[in-house]
Amino acid sequence: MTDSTMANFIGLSAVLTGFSAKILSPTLDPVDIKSEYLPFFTQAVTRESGNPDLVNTIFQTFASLKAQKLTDQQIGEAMLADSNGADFVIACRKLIFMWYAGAWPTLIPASDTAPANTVSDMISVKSYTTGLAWQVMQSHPMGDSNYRYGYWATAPAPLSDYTGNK
Amino acid sequence: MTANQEYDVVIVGSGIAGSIVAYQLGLQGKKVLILEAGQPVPVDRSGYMETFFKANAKTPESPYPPTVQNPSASTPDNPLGLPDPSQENVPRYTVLQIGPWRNPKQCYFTYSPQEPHLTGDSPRANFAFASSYERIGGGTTWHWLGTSLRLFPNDFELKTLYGQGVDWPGGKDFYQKLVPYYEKATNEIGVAGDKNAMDQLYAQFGVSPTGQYGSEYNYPMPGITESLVDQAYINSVTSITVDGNPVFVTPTPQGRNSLPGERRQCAGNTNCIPICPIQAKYDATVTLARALQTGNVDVWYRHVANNIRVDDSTAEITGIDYITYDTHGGIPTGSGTVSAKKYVLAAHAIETPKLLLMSNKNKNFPQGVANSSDQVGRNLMDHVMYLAWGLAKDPVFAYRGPLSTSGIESLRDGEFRKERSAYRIEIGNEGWQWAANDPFTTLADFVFGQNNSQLNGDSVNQQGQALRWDKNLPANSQLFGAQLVNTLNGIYTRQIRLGYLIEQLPDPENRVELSKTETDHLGLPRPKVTYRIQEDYVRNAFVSAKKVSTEIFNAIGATEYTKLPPAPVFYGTPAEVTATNFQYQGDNFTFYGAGHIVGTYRMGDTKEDSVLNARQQSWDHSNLFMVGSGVFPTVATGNPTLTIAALAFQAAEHILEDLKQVSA
Amino acid sequence: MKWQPGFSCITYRTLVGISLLLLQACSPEPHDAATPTPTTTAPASGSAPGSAPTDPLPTLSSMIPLEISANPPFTLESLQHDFDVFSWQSFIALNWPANADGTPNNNLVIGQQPGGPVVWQSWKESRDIFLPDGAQPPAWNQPNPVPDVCKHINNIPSGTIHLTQVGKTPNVLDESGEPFQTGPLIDQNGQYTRYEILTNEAMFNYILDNQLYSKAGQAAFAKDADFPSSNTESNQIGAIMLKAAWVKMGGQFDPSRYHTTFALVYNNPEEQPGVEPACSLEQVGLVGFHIAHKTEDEPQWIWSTFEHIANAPTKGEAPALSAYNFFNPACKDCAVNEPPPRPWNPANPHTQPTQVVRVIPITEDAKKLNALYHAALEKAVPGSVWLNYELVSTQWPTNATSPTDPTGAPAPSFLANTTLETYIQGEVKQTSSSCMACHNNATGTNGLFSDFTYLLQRAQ
Repeated sequence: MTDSTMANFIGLSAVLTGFSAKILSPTLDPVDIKSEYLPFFTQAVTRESGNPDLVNTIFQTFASLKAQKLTDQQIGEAMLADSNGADFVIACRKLIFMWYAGAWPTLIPASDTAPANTVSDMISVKSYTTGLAWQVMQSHPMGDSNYRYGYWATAPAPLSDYTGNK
Repeated sequence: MTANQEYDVVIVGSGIAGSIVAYQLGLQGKKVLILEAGQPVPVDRSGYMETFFKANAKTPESPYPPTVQNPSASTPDNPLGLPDPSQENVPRYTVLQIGPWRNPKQCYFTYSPQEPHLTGDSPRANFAFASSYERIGGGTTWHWLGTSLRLFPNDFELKTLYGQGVDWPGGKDFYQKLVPYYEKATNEIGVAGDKNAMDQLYAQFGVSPTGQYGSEYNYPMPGITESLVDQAYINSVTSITVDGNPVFVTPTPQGRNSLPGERRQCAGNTNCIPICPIQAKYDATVTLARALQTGNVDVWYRHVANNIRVDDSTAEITGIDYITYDTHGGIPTGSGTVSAKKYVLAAHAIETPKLLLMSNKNKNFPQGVANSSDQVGRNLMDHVMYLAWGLAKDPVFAYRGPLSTSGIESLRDGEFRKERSAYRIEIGNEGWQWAANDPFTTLADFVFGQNNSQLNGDSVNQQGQALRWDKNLPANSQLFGAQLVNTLNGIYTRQIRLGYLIEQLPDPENRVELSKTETDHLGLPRPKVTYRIQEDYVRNAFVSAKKVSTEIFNAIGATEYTKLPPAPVFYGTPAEVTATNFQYQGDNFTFYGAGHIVGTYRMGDTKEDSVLNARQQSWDHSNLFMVGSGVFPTVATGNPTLTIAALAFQAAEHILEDLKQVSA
Repeated sequence: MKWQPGFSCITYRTLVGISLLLLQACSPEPHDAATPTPTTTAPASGSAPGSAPTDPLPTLSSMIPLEISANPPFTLESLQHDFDVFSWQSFIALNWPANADGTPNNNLVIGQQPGGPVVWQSWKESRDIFLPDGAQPPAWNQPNPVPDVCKHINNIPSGTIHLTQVGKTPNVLDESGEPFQTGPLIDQNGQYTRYEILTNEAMFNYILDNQLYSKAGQAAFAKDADFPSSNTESNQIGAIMLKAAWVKMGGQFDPSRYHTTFALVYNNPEEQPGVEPACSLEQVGLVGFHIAHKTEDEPQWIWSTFEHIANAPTKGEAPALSAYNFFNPACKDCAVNEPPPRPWNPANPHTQPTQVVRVIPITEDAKKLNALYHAALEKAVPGSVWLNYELVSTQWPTNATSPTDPTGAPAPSFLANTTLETYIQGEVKQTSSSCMACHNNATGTNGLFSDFTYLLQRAQ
């Protein structure tokens, strides 16, 4: 893994999740979930797509879009465009899910008796507690609160404090 | 452990009931041995927490051994990787087994087959039991919520007052005698409660004409702060009445610290179930430690009681046999028998009757120990739960604070109890975590364009309202970036949930028996369970709960998302049949478990219709006592733990009385 | 470290939006007017064991640092090192030989006069702050009452310096269990390890001035506590809290290898049911030492922890020593990191020793720093008793002003002392030992935030 690979991984993750890169990858990062996610993502996408170049293609596509000084919205739309191919797009969508849930999703197509749904495998102990789903709700992972007695009687800090995007 | 120790009392089970009895006896200098089937109380709960964090399904049992799910053992017909109960030394029923309830390779319980030709609304339909328990040191309080309510006096006279179910022995008098023990239980648990709020409630129900609810009635800690979710209800629901009762919110007395003490102050980890990471919530390991600190109590872990011996001439219990093991799937490592003057069964309401029924080799008790009445295992009950969920009109910031901090207690009694079951309503602080497996379901919907939350499609609720979260977005939207952030935030912060704890009636046909075919890894028979909701009386409460939910959500301006369950399927492959769905009055319902397993060795007034007398002493064997929720004649309208604890204190006094007679 | 060549004075204030650390190097004056300039420094030496030949030996000073010194570029590793240096500087200043009034005796250097009192031993113990019935404690440097059962003890050994100090009574060691009932720690002599918590004058005065020593005072205070912070601009020293673990000398323990003192070892019946009051004067040796220091830029406090080098081996590593304070290399089937079974009672003449291992290894960088400081200590006083103590690590906030995380994203995420958090070592959030994550939830008897100290809940 190179520094630029990690930079692309974080940059793409920030665009797709809507969280600031400073939140996903703080300069001082004692938790360092990104170093767990990048190899996990790379292996999972490669395994599922059977395409050893796909992850690199995704990152290079992102890097070239980023170089064009596009907005995050434009970059995100371009990354998720159908023209990139189904494997490319689903990998990006799974990347979002991974950051939010700390788990790797498996999509179950609709059947005669059940609509399409998603099951997932928790990646690690650490990934559960770093899931962005808990941040986007302005709360904490269930079972892992850093707040103090009675906090639940007052409103949390603004959403922008959690996402890092003012 | 001291193998040659002479014991005054042997207790089976180290949960709250067994631990309280052991502690009280130990304090009086009695020598006590606890046989615990499960693993020891860990020095540090990190192992349990690690298992919980990593678990895919964060069910009440998910932190505890033996592990309830193993993703690496996942197969198409066992996606969660449930263990095979026949390979486990101390298997237990878990909520993950509700779905595969008809598959004994995955489900610890076996069930009676459905009778033929049932319709969806047939009272004879069998269901999966919906509640679970733990077999570990400290027992099921590891995953209890902490709700510490007394039952009402009227709960003890359901038959006399309303013509339903049975009375407790002595009726209201039983309540009055229990009051001092309720106080002891409140102090032992260290309940945080708001006395003024409870006074208001007790006044409504005429609990005491004097306005005094016990000589030392108060709470050792001030009430737990109510949540923002609670605030959304508090002022708005009072416009409603239900069957003549006012509706108002009462802060719940809870077994968690509102102040620092011997345990830590609650930090709102929002995880009371499955596990409080910081032990701000009381669990029975607290009392167990106090018991051991007396120096008079021993506990033997991984000792599975498997037979009770009875003297053929006196009918006294003479010993309890046990099997030992080292690892969950390992071979038995030994066996033995312990004897004492008195015996106490405290193994909760499934394993206790199972042990009594297994003990069927005594000449005069071929139906099992303490079972001359044939009541052992019968009258299995739970609070059957109706869940309703919705979105508040403004953010209420769910997923913060203890799982529940308030409830609606004002509907727990009234003349309506002649017609339908009473219930209390628990206000959930955990968003749709229980109701819809959020945050994951809604997340997947908006990342992958699915609609299992009903927020991202063309879903319409049962009142005809369109449910799509953002009317400007197409159905099955797939979002990213700021739009995803704002959508998820808007939804999660508004999520609300109500849970109705509906009083189930004692039904002798609802019972625990021994499976004739299935065993655990020690070769012991597994429970065979028959579980129905036969009475319109109980089903009427579901109709009421559904109607009241809609009224409450309307009153607070919320949009209801309660999903209409699919119609029941009673026949088909194990994968095809439903577990807890039924029809009633043309509507589809599903029920959930409250974890309140009650009634399988009940107290009563006569030895013909009960297992125990009012002293919680076996009618058949005078030196055998049983404690825990299995002694309840009815499940009543409050969460059972405080009553379990109070009854354990009371039983300990009866045992001490009898021990005095022995030595005198 | 202004005395270190090539170290420039830089304040970094904005690092990914966080306000951070001031440099002590920028402090114009020593913080304490009563503290003279250090008199003893060890010159650079290339012969120190374990240190690179080019590493200059650190100066040994009796000045408690008010803030870390740090050089850009700032990384997790560089700042960890800087905080670890801060920890060693603090440890040395606190363990400096003391005058009768508790100030550092700068005629001596750390390590001289072994067994004599050091600076922190004049600090206020929790049992002398939170008195029965919430009584007001005596002022700083005033004598404190001892438990009744200790009063008969008058055969205090002569020549023990601290006991001849005006107004100084022996420390009372009454605690024999670790926090939250996790259990007692039994040494290789089969004796209970004893604990004490102390505060410095700034912390004590805040408690005294705001009447936080009593339940009634805390109820009247009715707001979150906010102890003073060390401040390099005003040169004020803030709140410092210590926790010390001691074992009784004798048996397998040679007093020459420990920092020792004589203490009134008191069995407190309030600790556990079944404990009878008893008291004896014992020579005890220091085995564990926490320093928590509130600074302007670390409102979550800086948490340093030191241990005796012979406490326990590290999990998964072959024991390097033939004997330990809390580990028996000969015992192969001893359950590891498990407290003794109840009933717990420090009066028991002998209890099965606890078999302790360190779960999280000391980092290589901390080991190098330990070697460097050991070299300086050896240089100052050959054979110094302080060579027997090592830094485990320092926990500090990486994002002290985070609006969403009041714990400030501590680094390292987990930190435990094998004598103080024996049974909760590990790396599981909420349950494994993390100074800041746990103390973040500390409150007083009023239920309000007590600013990272559990002491206030001891008020009566």
